[in-house]
Amino acid sequence: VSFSVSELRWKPRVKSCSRSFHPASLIPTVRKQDGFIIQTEAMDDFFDNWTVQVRKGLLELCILNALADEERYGYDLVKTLVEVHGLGVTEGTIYPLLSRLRVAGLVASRLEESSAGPARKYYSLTKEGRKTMETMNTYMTELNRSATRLRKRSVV
Amino acid sequence: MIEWTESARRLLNEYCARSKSVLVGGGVDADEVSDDLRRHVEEEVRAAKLSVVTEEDIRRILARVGEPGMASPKIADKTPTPGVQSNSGKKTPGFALLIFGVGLPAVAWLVELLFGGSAGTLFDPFPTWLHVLAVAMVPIVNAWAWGAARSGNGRCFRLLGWLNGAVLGTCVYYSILYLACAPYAFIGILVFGVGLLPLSPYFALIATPLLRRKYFEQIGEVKLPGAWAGSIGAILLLVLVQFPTAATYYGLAKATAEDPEIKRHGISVLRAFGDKETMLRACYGTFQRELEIDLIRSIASGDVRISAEAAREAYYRATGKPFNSVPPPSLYTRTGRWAALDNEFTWDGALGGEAVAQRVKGLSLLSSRLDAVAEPDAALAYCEWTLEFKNVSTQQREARAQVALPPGAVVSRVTLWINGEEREAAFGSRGQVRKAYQEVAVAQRRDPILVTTCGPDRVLMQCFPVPPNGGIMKVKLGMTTPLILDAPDQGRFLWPRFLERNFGIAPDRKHDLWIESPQRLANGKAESAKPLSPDRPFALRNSLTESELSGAVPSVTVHRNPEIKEVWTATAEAGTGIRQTLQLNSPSQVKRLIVVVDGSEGMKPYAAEVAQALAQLPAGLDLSLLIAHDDRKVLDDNPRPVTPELIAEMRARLTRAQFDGGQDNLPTLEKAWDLASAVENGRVLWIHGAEAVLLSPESGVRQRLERNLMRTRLLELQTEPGPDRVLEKLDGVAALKHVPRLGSVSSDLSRVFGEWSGKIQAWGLERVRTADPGVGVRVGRNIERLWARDEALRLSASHNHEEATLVAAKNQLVTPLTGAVVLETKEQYERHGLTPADPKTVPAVPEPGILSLLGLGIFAFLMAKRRRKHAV
Repeated sequence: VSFSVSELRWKPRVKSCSRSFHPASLIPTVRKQDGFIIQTEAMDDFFDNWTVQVRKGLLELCILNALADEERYGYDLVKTLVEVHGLGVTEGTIYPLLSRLRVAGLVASRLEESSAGPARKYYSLTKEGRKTMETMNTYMTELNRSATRLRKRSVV
Repeated sequence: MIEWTESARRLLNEYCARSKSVLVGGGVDADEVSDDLRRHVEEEVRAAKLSVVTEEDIRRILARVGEPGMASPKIADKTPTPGVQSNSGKKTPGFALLIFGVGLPAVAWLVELLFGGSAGTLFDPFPTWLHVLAVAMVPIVNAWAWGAARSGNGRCFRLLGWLNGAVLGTCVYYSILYLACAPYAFIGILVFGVGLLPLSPYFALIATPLLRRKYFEQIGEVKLPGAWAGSIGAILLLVLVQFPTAATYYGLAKATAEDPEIKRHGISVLRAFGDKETMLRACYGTFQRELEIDLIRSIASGDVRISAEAAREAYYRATGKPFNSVPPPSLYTRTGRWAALDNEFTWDGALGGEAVAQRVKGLSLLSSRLDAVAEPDAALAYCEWTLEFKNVSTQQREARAQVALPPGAVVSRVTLWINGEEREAAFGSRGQVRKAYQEVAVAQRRDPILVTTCGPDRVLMQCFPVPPNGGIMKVKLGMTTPLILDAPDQGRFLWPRFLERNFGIAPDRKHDLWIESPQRLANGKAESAKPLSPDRPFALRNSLTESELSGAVPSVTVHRNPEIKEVWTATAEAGTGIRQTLQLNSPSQVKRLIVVVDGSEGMKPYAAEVAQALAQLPAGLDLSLLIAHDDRKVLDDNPRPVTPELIAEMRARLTRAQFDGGQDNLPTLEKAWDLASAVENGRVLWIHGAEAVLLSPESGVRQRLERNLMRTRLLELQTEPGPDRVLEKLDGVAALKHVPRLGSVSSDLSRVFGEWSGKIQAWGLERVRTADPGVGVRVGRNIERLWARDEALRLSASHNHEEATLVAAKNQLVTPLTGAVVLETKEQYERHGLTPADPKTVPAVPEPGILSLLGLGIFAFLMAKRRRKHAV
């Protein structure tokens, strides 16, 4: 079981509006209106901190997933990851991550000369990297399933 | 080859060095990351297709790349979620930009398209469909830019960049156009709280670059193309498609100038570039507004105010067509495509006047019925044209039309239906009846109808008011007409038709035609059916559309007994009568012929026919051919004897001749008359189209025709139906003769030339008043009416106007000196010294019902007589 990059594109449309936060509690409230998830100001900080943690954990998995099918040109890979909505990374953030994954032996890279510009750097998964990616995806799926189950139970 | 500035290179080096120092010891290869970042920036530069890389470019790229961190998303980036804040942290466009950049331009566009607010009161902002499209693009492109900036969607950024540039150009263009009215709109907002729409180009002009900037910031592209090139391109394109309109304004201003040279230049411009729609609007007086804020018109025309009258003349000069021969102008900015204006032409400035003038909105012909009865023995026919007008506008309307009568015909009955009753006209002097009409129609707004002549064989009919909101007015014109005799055993009857009108006729509206005669009839396509009984007439019926009736000269051949050469009728005065004799005319001894061909555009299709007919000219006369054209070089003032070589030369000249616009024929006619009258019994043959505007005074030609010592004649042949102001002005002049149109131009001319040479026999009718008329067959009183017409014209020609008026009025005829008017009340007649015709004395077409009843009665009488005889 693996995540594809396109699946990671999903992100609820959040409309920052309202001064109508829940006055009695610091617990963030989220409600739906006209198809938007309404995020109150009270929950902004909490939500932001939480998403930063989630994204931080997910970013390496996203890189590995993006390389799951094929070797990719570094510039192109970075652009793809930057466009993943909700991941919230800048280009400068990805290169150190790639370097760390390479040092860890999960990703391999090679340089190829280009007549059109600077030499191109291609990234691919190593055997170990692929194994790690699969383990991480299984873990994520299970985690997601358990969290969903919990949510469904609380709704019932 | 990409060239880097030193500062750009330095900035990148600093960034890479900084990155390295930050990353050292973080479990990464700092050198590798530094190299990767450098490579990434160089790729960005290459993707942006920069030829020179500046410090600003690098700064922009690095702003997006961000500072390298240790594998954590930017904590400071609070909202990476789309729609709230972009990656770069810049603010997205707000709703004010949506309102002023999208909402207001969209509303302005829609309102203009639906209601024509600006077009109706200021100027037309949408002279072409491209303008409509360009303005529509403003809200569309701005909405796209707004949405894309909000979502940070950088797809198709190049296209959006160009479109945004084009929209910017459109905003600049319209901001300039509305510059003159912007202060008024601003004051309107301050004082009345309205006037936002005229300011929408300015709001859009502010909003569009702001949206561009927001979008640019959000997508973080190095360069957004199309700002200058797109806007300049849009402006140039709009100016280019506006060119014909601007050229028309310029041409109209010059064409209405006093100086003949400038005038000629203006006409040339209009002929070459003139936009007919724009010219037509000028003809309807839309360029005479007090508040003139059309910038393009002001610049192009030099702020010259163009009157409707002057514009009509220019329209004719440029196009060769009367402005009212085409439907009224339309605007793009109306509900429904090209629908005519509702409010702009409601005022009918020609009410009660002698001009048919412009088409009026909402007035149309509801029904048209022509009933004719031929009297073959008397070689004449009587025809009644019953017309119903309908007015669906909200104002009372006057229906006006010029009617072409059959050759030699005279209007002898005018009837108006008032409250369902037929009211007969009073006949009086022209001034008397017009004064009565104007007082009753224009001042009192009651129910009169006026009929006066407007040239040889043509009358002007006007009736007022056709009631508003679907009201109907019904009138009838009765006319007595001689048959055109091809031979003693047959004559031709021509139907009357419209030459000019101010009401509409639906393309499928039919004129219902009926003619009956005691003898056989034929109309070229059909022969009259044999009557059911000997006492019943032969009859033909037909239904023709307006274009068929006006365009094809439909005629009916009436067969007659060739033995009947003399007929007579008794007059109201005891002991006197009118005798009519059919006789063969002797060939005219024409010594010199000057052919004047109208150089107007409408004559182009007939040039070959005229050339063809010239071959029929008899030998022995001097011939000269003049073409009435602005270019006077085409004058040929040297008449030469007719020879085959001369005819060939004339034909070649006609074939090569230039026909364009509407030409002034009067100067050429004067020249032609002078040439023709240099010898005795000369002829000027004027072959012309419809001259809708009198372009120079007719006094010179009229004087020549009236002071005619050499028995010169001016023969006129009009090639196409339509008004002719020259003929109107020459109404009643004896030396002017009308050549009837019976077929093609070539055949009609050949008939005239054939009669001169004696190849074709010309039969004529002579009518005299006598104390002892009782020779031949006695016929109805219609020959008295035709005699009275001839007599009135003869008296008029000998300057005995009083006697001529008396004769015409007494015989209830419309002549150049008399007219017919129907008023509403007896008091109105008395006040104007008029007496309405006694219904018993007016001519009439017997109703088919009456004839049937008569036949039935005779049949019953014969049957009863027979039964009695058998009983005995």
